[in-house]
Amino acid sequence: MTTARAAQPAVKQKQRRPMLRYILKRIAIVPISVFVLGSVSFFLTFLIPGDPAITILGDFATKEQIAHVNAQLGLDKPVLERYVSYWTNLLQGDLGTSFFTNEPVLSDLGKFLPNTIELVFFSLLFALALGMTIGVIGAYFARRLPDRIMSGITSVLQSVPDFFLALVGIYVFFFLLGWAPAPIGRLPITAGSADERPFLIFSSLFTGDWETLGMAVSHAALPVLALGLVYASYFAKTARGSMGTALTTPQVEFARACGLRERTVVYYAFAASRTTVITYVAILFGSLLGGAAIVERVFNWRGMGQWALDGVLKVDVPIIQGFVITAGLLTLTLFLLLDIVVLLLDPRVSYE
Amino acid sequence: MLRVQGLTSQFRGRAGVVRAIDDVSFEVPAGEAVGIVGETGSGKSVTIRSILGLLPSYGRVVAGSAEFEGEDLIKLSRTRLREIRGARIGFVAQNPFGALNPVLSIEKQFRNVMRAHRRMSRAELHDLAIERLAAVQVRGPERVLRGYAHELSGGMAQRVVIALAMLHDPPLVIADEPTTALDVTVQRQILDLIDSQVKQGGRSLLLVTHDLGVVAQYCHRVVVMKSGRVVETGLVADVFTNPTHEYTKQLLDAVPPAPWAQEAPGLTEQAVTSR
Repeated sequence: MTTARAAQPAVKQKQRRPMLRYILKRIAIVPISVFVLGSVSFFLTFLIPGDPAITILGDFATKEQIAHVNAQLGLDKPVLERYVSYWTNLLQGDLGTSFFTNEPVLSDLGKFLPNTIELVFFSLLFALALGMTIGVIGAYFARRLPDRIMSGITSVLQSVPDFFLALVGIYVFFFLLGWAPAPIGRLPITAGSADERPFLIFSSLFTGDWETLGMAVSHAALPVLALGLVYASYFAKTARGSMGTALTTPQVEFARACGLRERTVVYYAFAASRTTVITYVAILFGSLLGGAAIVERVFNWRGMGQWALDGVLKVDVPIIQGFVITAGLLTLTLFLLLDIVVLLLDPRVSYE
Repeated sequence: MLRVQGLTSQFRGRAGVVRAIDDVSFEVPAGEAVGIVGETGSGKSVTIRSILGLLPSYGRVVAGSAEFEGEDLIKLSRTRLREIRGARIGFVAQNPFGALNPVLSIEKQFRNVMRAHRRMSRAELHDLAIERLAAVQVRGPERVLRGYAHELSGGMAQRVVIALAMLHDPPLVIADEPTTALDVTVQRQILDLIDSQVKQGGRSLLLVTHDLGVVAQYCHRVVVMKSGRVVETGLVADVFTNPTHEYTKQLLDAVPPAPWAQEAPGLTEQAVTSR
């Protein structure tokens, strides 16, 4: 190997479009993942305690009533038959209808998922900006006073639950100061329901509807702040760790010895640690799709987490399945994107 | 050229303050090569890092001076020190794969080092980089420039590091064990290369190594360090033939008889010419 490289010192032989091949290979695995995901979400519902029929009818329902409801819901059929019909519907894009509201799960998702995506997107954006700042300052002044202050802030943020921060935020900024609007959802009551307009902030931004944008942003401020502050601590920790390591490497020392400006040196260290941070973004995005449930509930955000949580409490099987599949698909897509981004950023990652 | 006097550096750790180097003094005269030798942990690396202002954040120079071109490097502002590093003092790192940036192309790294001290158009810099890579015997400089560090062999990567260190024609070059991380077969080539680059430019060299043979062959003067102190310093010819300190004697005795003994200019011609 060494001799081969010495004989031909420069660039390795390039395959034909290795990048494209790698991406196609990764996409080829997706159907297998989807099959596992769908099956897991089907069988998962058997593990959930509780009986939907009893939840619908109440504790005093007779056996006949329960059997009747079960027949209506199709729960009396054998598991295999239900599994097959579940897949048949799923492959046609039919996620079923809610046991309770009779709303198709897909139309619920269309209403709630965009809300959650917007919330998680802005929260992570805020968390990333704040967390990276804290982490980079800490790493740059390693073991000195700024580092101690930053790690103190990180520990405090990390130990506060997001919903508690949300409640404190409502108390201070809505109740005491009156700066924030009431936590009643995405828009004031006078503006009517926001359900008809998915991606409220994005769409009003692109259509130039400044009035709606202003209202939407002011309603989003507190939940974004609550989630963002808490998750900033994760980014701060990751950035402090990876940047801290990167700043003590011979690479950074050599950069300094060559007289590079400090901002170039910090950029070098950032470039060395950015894949770690990007990986974290993807992981947190996936987990926040359902993980923001309580904060969504506190602000009546009408998001996916809140919707799924209600579904779980009522043993609303189609909703649970719909949530697991949607969150799973989004996470899969995100991780695929993540791998491609990491590939583009680091020339050392091989396509094989 | 470089006059180090009473240099003392400390590290702050869990166990309290540790004095890494204590009252280190030596001189690098213009146009000469000086070797710092000593075992691992003797303070060789801390000495050059103290001079260059590259100590980690928990270490600092507490006393002494390092006079270079009429300025005390220890007392200089960070901005001024940055202007000197790379431009007036070149640094050759120990491990080229550690030193080169893995995610930037070699050309981009040339551009960054150039831009740190001087403005130059992309096309001009490209030509200069090719010229400099050719000067350090890098084969296929065009391809190397386009590529990344991990595509190079150790010897080639160290040549790139040397070319980067010499990009601004610094009058002083500091090399920190420049061959330790390399294959034995290329160690000598790299040392010869550094030696010829230094001699061609009439530069001074401060070479850190634990190999007495290397010092004998490439250096005029030697600084022997032990436990953070200089135990002996002087012309290679004097120190090696007539060591006064017990530790230097032990070091010399520890060297196995090797081919360098016959072809060491530091011991033969040097002994004659420098008198």
